[in-house]
Amino acid sequence: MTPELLILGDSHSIALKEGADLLGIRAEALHFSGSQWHDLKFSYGTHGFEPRGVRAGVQQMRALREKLGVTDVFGMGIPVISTLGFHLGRLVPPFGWNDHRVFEPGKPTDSGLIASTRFAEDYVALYRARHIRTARRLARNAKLVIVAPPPAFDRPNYDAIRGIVTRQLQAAGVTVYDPKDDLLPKGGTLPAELLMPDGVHATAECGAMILQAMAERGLLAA
Amino acid sequence: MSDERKNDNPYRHIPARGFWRSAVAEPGLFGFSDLWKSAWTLPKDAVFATFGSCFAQHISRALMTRKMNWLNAEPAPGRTPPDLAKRYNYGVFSARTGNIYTAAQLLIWARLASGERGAESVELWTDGDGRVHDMLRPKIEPQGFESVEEARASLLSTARAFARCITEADVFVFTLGLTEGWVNTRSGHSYSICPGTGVGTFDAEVHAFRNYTYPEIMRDLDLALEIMWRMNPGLRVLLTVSPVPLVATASGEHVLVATQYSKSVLRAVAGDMARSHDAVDYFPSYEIIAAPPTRAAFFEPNMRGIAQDGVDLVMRHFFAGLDLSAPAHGPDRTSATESESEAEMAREDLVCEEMILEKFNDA
Repeated sequence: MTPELLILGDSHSIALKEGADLLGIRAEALHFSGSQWHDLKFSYGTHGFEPRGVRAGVQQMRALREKLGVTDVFGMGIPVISTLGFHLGRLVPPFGWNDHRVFEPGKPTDSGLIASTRFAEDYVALYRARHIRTARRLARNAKLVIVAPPPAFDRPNYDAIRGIVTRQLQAAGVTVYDPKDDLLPKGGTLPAELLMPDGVHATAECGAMILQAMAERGLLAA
Repeated sequence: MSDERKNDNPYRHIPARGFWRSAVAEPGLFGFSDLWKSAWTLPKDAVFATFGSCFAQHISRALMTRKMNWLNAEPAPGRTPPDLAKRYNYGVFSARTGNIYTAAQLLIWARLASGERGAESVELWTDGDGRVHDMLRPKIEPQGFESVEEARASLLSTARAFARCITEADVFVFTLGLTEGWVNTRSGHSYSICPGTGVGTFDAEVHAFRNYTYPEIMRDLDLALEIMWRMNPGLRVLLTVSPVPLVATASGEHVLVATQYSKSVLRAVAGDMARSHDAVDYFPSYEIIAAPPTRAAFFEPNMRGIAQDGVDLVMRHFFAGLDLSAPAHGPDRTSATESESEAEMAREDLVCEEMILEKFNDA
């Protein structure tokens, strides 16, 4: 049976797939780890999106192609939601190795080293250029919504760099949904009951809440 | 009185390095020896901070190339590609001060680092696109800052890094570059470049040319070092003079004459400062490049840029004269943060991988 939704992304996209299952949305998924996304283990060629050099990803892709009977799985016109482009666990920690903070209005600046917003934008652009190009190409053949990872903790630079990735995707014409807008309208981080024991990833219930909120905004319709 | 005593005089006891024939004429340019000997015995892993005019960046690079302990108190964020770091002026000097051409500007940095002055004391300029530039480091950000708040936060961040250079370095290397500069006659603000030359708007009513004199430079340098020694009484200061000629002069003189004046004054200040303070030494990079025996061989065809061979020769004399025989400080701590973070990322990767594999296996 043709799925209603395709989910593509890193470990944060698992909660979205599990949420879809909870809601009874027919969804198919392709996940591989954020570090492999960060390390550009993917391409977009004549057969559409493909994982490269990622055994689990390549196997999932092959299985999806067989199941759906097409080569370009993400070019079928089925809505795609994805966490493509964020992978903050690989992007943000190195930025702070030398005690840097991206300047954020209203946040304390009296310790450590301050990096300008423009520098951080250039830094992110260098590491995320291919992700953004790929998102733009995916969006040409299907309704694509990139889902930002819901904030699970308050650590330096996560919020700033998350915002920069969001803005760069949007500037490329890609739709981005930020679960903060509906789940955390007053700010803060996800409550413990919506987080897995690792304190980083959202639960299936949280995934379902995100999908419901997206549906209400008309972001899941084909 | 014996003949020998009758003929005795102080010059008979001067070593060969004190005579032009034996020290310069006969050995030739590449044969100079004992040109400089450090006044101090430093730890094997002595920490060097480098600041000053553009020639100072050669010293930074040479220290890095030799894997010596060059203090980079304001490095680029981790994993910044070299081209991006360069574009934002990271890794040029020990903090992101940009060129510090004059003693007056060194004094401003010392005051900012000590907290004597705040970021609001530094003039800002907003360009036509609404981008903000600080006039102490007008080209530090290729496109300026997003806001006044960001510019000031960045300036204070660099001031903190500059303070670390004062408190943590064994040797603070400072290259004096210019006597000429521009000031704001209303606020007294000293500019690193003339407003209107790329950054800022020139206003003849407010902006005035200054050709700092020997006493003024001596006073500013004295004041700056006084502050720095209050922050670190053990700090040693190695002064050099940039051999790079002026790109232009506003003094009204011919630029060649103005250059010679400028370098002569700076050389005299550096020498006198070294003679009057045990914690100050002078390293003759200026002489190695610009003195007559080199026949200007190390200048590029424009007679201003310094060829790499010249820089290499300067640095050979620098390293030959260093005495690093005192016991080392001990291991560096900075790499620990990186490896801890790498380990943390690897642990998180493992969690992500396991989640994905588990999910995939279920499917």
